[in-house]
Amino acid sequence: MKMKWAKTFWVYLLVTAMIGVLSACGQSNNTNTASGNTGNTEQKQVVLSFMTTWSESDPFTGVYYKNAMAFEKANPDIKLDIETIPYNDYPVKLNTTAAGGNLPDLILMIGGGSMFEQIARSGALMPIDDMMGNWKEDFLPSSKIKEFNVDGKQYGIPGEVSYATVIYYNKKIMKDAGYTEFPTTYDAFKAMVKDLKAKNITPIAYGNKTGSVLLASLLSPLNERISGPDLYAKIKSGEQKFTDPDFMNALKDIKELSDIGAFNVDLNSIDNVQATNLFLSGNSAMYIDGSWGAKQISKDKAADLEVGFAVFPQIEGGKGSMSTMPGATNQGVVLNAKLDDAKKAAAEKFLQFMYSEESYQNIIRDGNMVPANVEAPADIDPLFKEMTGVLAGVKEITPVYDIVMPATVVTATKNGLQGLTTPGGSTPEAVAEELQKELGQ
Amino acid sequence: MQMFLRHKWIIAAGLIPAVVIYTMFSIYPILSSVYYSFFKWDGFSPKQWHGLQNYVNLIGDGVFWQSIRNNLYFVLFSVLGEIPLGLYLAMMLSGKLFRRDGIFRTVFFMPVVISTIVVSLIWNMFYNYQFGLVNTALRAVGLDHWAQNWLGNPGLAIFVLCIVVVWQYTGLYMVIFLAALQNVPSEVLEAAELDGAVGIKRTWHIVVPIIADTIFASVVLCISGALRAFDLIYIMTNGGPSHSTEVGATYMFSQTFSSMKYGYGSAISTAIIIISFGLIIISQFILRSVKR
Repeated sequence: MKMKWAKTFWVYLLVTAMIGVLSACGQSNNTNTASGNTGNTEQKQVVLSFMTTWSESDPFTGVYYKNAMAFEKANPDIKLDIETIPYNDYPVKLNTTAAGGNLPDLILMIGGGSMFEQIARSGALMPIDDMMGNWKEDFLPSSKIKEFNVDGKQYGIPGEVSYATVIYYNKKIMKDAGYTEFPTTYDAFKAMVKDLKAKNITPIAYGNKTGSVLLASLLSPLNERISGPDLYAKIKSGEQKFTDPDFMNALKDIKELSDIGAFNVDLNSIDNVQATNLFLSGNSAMYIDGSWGAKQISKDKAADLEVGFAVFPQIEGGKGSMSTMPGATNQGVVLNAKLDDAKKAAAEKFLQFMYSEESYQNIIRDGNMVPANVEAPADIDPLFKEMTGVLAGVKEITPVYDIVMPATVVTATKNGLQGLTTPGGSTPEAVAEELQKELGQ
Repeated sequence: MQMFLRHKWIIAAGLIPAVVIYTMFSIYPILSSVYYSFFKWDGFSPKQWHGLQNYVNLIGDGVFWQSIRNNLYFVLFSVLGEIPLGLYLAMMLSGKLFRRDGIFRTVFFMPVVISTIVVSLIWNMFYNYQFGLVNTALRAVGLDHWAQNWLGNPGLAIFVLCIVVVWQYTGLYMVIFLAALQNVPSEVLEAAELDGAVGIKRTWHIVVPIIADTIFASVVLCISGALRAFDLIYIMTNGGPSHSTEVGATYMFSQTFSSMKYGYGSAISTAIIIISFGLIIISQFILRSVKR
């Protein structure tokens, strides 16, 4: 009898211990985050959790990471707890953490637009209007930061400006094929594409596996050149439809380019990096990507490869012009609405530092255009300098499709464009109808 | 032991931690997913009651059915590819010729150990149009017109992916069958040989019936594995070009997290659960009738 009770006792003990361990696991996490929130008054160090895509070795965001590290060094009382998410996974991660109400203290917004607006309107972010005194209008014009403004409230400041479409071309291949000047009309451009194809040269290298490149750097400029800057607003308000001739013509143009063999055969199976390599290894005459593509090209190109830059050509009879370009402002850090005063003060210091003249100069030096009026440093990359020279004629930025349209439509468009450029794939009519249906839901 | 049996509540108490964890991380998410499937919800704005509309949309959604069809291709290729191949390799390796050579087992098992991400990247390079191994080999022997964009051809891409899956998991079933074959008594085999059952005859009439239970278990494993397929496709084609390699899981993922249709995505996952259950039950039924 005694034995039995002893056994029961041990079983009890074991079970309680297990439950204790399990619940302790849960609790210890809670206490950790709680102490992180209140901040340790003894050391007076504020820890800011920060979700971002920035990483030291990334050619596109390395400069931001280094700026952030410089901030930490200059402010030993503030510590950044950085969580780096790969670029392609970032929107999903951002959506789910925002939907779950688990946003960190600082959040990177890669761009403004529909997703950011949705999160801002849900009340999860803190407006920074009371901090805007740190930036003077002549340093940072409000027209350049409006993508981070929702319903009259400013939430963040962009680090760079990027154009969605730059045509990079191999000067030697073009010259050998008889083109010394890049065509400025779409018809001449198309004729050149046909001619290149006939000469057995792949005209344009694209890496559209994720679907985002054709969308940003081909559909966006075609829409702008055909219909002018306000097409998307009209479609969203119901004034126009995807199935109306304006948008349909852009789809037909893409289909036509695909049919005449303008792209590499595997455009939908390779990614941007692979497409850049195709271009850099002399396997295509052109490569079309956003202005950010210049960095990779400048970094990886052989010394004797001469790269030229061109603005997307004019379409005859279209409402757009070559002095406008679809583009976006990117890399703005926004604040969690739930920050306490100590953290808010630290975050303000961080923003001040990250979007200061010095930081912007670092960003330019790294090969980006910036929204602020900053003098360009003398030691910038010559290739980048050439590109900004070509783009100097662009006076106005118009919205990019994937920034303005709702996520459902963007996903459907990506798939639609892949279908258009796949042999035996979809027709422009089917794609447009699908999009209109998606928008209506 | 007797004490435990007399006091059933002790057993129950011992199970509680596992049950709690399982409920929290498995049952509850499934049920909440079913619950969300009745709403129109983008994750931010308030949920709107949508009734069965998500399911009505789902039934009319061609892409969903295409993704289920692709899932079925995966099931077919897995069951008819991995299991016979695995059995064949296991028989080879347990035969007199290779019995002492551990190296072949390691080689065939290797793909199972490699992370799916690595497998996907390697095969992506194999299938690359410009400089991939497959096309280079075809061009080298003069079959230029056979060389093509394997992963970009909507009619072909899903089968091309099936090959990768078969390559990846055959080794797993080989090892399972190797273990089962060790339990086949050598006396039986010798007796069969004396009676003149050799080669395919011996395999089909003697070996297969003895390890039948293992084969059945493997088939179920195979089916559930093929229905769960996600990572390989996500990395290799991301469901593209234009949905041609979409499977249930990737479609659910893109609808829920890229298009932010949480309600519709939940409806897709619920449908996947139902279809998977159905397939498993059907396969059990078939296997049981074969057994008899």
